[in-house]
Amino acid sequence: MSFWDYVVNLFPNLGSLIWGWLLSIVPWWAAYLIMGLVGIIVILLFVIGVVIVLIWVERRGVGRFQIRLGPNRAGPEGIFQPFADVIKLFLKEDVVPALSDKWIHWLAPVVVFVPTLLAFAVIPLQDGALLADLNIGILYIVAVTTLTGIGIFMAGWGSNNKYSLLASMRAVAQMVSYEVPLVLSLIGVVMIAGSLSMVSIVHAQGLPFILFQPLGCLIYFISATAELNRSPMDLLEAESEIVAGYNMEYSSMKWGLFFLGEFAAAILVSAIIATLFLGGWQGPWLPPYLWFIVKTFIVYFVLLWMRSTLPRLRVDQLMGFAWKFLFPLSLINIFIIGIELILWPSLPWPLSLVNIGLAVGLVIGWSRLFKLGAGEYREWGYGLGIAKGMALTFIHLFRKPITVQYPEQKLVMPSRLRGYEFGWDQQRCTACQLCANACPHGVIDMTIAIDEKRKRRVEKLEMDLGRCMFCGLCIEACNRQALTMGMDYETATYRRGDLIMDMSKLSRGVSQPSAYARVKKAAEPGKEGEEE
Amino acid sequence: MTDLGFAIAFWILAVVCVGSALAIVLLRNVFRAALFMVLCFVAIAGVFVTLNADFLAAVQILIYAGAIGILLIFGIMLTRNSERGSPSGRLRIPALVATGLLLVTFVYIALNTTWPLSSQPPLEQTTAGIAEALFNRYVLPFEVASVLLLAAIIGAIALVRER
Repeated sequence: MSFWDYVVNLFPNLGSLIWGWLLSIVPWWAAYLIMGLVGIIVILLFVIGVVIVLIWVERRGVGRFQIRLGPNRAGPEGIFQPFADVIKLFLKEDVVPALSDKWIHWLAPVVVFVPTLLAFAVIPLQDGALLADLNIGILYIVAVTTLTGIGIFMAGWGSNNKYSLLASMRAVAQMVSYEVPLVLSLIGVVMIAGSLSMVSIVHAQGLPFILFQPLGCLIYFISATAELNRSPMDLLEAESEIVAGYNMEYSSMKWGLFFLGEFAAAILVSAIIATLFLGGWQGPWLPPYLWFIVKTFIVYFVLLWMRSTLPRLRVDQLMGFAWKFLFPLSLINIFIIGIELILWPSLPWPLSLVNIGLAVGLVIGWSRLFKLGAGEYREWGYGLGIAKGMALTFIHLFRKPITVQYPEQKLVMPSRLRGYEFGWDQQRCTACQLCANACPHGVIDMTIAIDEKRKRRVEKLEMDLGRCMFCGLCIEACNRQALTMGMDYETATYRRGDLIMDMSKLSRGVSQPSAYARVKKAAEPGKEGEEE
Repeated sequence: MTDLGFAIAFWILAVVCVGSALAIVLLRNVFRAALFMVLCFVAIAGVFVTLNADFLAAVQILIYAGAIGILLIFGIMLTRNSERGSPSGRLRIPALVATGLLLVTFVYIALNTTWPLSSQPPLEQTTAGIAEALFNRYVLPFEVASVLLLAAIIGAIALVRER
């Protein structure tokens, strides 16, 4: 066996190597048990590792889609950001509400996370590289992942918080509704492959099934997004309506487990689409497991792209979309593929063109049945607007981010900015106290002395910038232009006392006078100020 | 060795199953009882797995643990004061008598039935076997059951529809 062959079949070879070695030292049942445990640990580590990578990808990626930079401070290009996040989560206090149902509250994150992890057991990295090749592979995944809904209910109920409860009911209603088109959209694939096993489905794909099942793939993708509760279907964490969702009363690593479960489910969905619709590990040149990972990542990228483009749906629109759009279309999809399989059991490739045409026609045609808010119809259905938005954010990906990296770069401020600094010219000041009288907050503390020639002199001048609201009335009140306002906006101090500007500090003047103060300077005495 | 493994699995599942079933009946907290019911369903799915009925196990989890469990919890959440458990009513003693009679009947039937043991080896492809049985031999009962379910769905919609 050449080295390349070994690389290509890395996982099966590694598996048989460890299996043989285990058999030589322990009885077979112990070896079986150990292999199972090793498999579980490998999957757990794999999932957590990929999640850590994806947190970075997600945060930077969403940033780039929105012409931002995203977090880039922790380590080069911000690669340590996920680690910082995880450490922060671990160190946070675990708060449990006093009147919560402690057991249910504790158990809920586990019930949410574990089913997702279980489903990974039947995802084939390559031929022979999976924990269990079940005959019912895809049904197993669908069955196991439904248990997540119970975990969400437990979180909502156990928190003893009405917003949590409301959010969990909403989330579960959404999950149950989208379960229907999700399962129905998979039936097309199962019918073509003639098997429920993930490995057999991959073997059946001479051409990727997305070509024969474009509609099924689309429906699965959309329903899975809803199952994942990701944007644009992330209603359960709509901050504007239900505060933060079912996991509101969770903190520390319990909240982290929800987060982990969400990411793991996103990876799972990407892997399922890669396996069922994109041909799994099959592909030229590269080793199969790399093909699988590349395809999974491509699907994840589309999820990310959609997340950073589309706005959130309203709750009734969401339900209507599942029952009136996805559900009938998935039934039609089953009929189409059934008729095709009866007429041409071997599915010649031209059928894929027919199916793609049918899918486009059905999506556009069916969406024309829906009305807009005002009762009007879209001429081309709703797909076009979504496509335009997606194209726009994709272009954003290649534009230069507009982020200003604050301490190193400064924002360009408008010239009339009323900034956080004041200058005082002792020569010009007549100690008339107009500024102190004009100030609505009593920020300016001015005491004056009158000498024997009846000349007024400022004894003490202090401005408490902690109370100043930068209205600029003192500048307007001063008719000798003794007070000026500066452009600086970054005066932060550790003590409140440092914010009190005394005469010596004020006499230093300002770094750059604001145009707001200069207006008066340029104006003729007696005339009201005009712009320069 | 395999037999011992199956025996261990069976006893664990049996204990979980019976324990959670008792918890459903005995717990005052209805929400916890519902969760134990889900656990009971999952344990039954485990029993199906040990019997080589993998399709049934998956469907058991999908429909019973997933769908029915969630619907039940929905029902609990929409019921006022459900966390206090069922109120004590006048029907307590008649209910006890009825359930006692039912229990006696079940135990009597279970003890007096000769459970036949099939000597055939388990099927490799259970899905195909179930499909063939359902759509060939038992297609009429299958269709009747489908129509019944459809009628139930339409009835439910008609009941809750706003007038």
